[in-house]
Amino acid sequence: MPTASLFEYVAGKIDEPPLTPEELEFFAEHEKVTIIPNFSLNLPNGMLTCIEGTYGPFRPNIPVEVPLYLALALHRRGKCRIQPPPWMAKDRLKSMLEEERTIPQYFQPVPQYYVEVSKMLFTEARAIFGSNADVHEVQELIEELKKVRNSKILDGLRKVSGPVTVKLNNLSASESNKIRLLFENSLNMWYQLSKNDKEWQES
Amino acid sequence: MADVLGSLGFTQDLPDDLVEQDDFTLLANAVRNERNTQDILEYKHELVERVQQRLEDQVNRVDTWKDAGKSNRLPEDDIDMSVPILCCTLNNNRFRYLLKAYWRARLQKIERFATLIIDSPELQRNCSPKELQHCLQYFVAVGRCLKEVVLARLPEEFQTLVQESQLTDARDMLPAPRLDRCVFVKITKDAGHVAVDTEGQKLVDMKAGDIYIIQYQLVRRLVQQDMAVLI
Repeated sequence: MPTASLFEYVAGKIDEPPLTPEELEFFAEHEKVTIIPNFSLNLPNGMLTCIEGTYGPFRPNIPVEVPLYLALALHRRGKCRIQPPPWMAKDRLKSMLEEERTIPQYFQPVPQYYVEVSKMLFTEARAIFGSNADVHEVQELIEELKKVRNSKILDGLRKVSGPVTVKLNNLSASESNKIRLLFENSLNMWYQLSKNDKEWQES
Repeated sequence: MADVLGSLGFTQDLPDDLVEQDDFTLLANAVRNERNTQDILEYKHELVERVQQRLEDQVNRVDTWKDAGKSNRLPEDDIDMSVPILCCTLNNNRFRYLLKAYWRARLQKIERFATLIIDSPELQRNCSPKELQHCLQYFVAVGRCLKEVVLARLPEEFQTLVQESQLTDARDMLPAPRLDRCVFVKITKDAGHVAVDTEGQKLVDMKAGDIYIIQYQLVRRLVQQDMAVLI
């Protein structure tokens, strides 16, 4: 291992988490949701051309798919109605929760940014789910889902006892960020220890 | 788009080779790759130039809309462009943030490993011309500062920047990226059998959509070929 150089100290900021939760929310705002606009867009064909592609046509009462940040901005100005994403329907969530509970070894397929998307929709657009009671129910289902998956992750972490490669399919972005520092640094330490062990055995 | 289909529960049905990834996803993946590893990755010339060009076009478009709104005298002729102006401004800000995040992540790494880059033509190929220029200027400036402040006051043998002392021949004070650190990696295309331990003995068949936590050097080739993304 090379000795610490003067440049290392100057560059600094070595052990920061690579992605903050705010940045994950930023990436999550790119997820598509369906909205029903109540306006007609004043552009040719009603299509909005953005850098990454076109969205539209924006005509009153015709559902159209847009990224989440756009949907929330339009919703704030009262220009559209957001439709809850299909995976947030009560029965879908209930069946996902059931499957999550019955199969303890694997994670169920879940939208990559479900934590961020659900949090943003609950804070800014509560009305789209229906009455207050409905909102609470969906919120509770998602909290349950988070808790069950969290406990699965912690169980898995307890079982890791050496420098192994782990397969973690269907982990969402926020869950992987939560365990990133702990998991990566412990595995790094294990690899270092096993390397030292090998060198010591060979000498 | 893979994320959209994933959110509808359809990740397994569409093979990932056919899924068109839009520029935002490509740039977001590039930012995540840069942040998660210390390795100097290849500079995405095409993607960045394309995004910059379209960003400029869109900024000009929004400005013309805004000017048209101000110069109109007759309220009947006034076309309300507030919605497109809003949407395009949000879009512009998001892409500006992504570009800045990409460049900053790369520049941080380049400054940290400036001495190594100057020595290695392979790493220089991975940087853009502006980054190389910055690297050289940074090295000269910091080197001069360190020499004047510290090294000039040390005994003769210890006055080099790149060696621990002139008594050794090797340039052993060059910081190098640690490629054996662990990363979270998501496979985007079927990658076949890949070794998962350092001796290369255990092979695992990696399919699209798998997430692993693995040493970076074992999946380095996959990331360079865009078959995997660091998440």
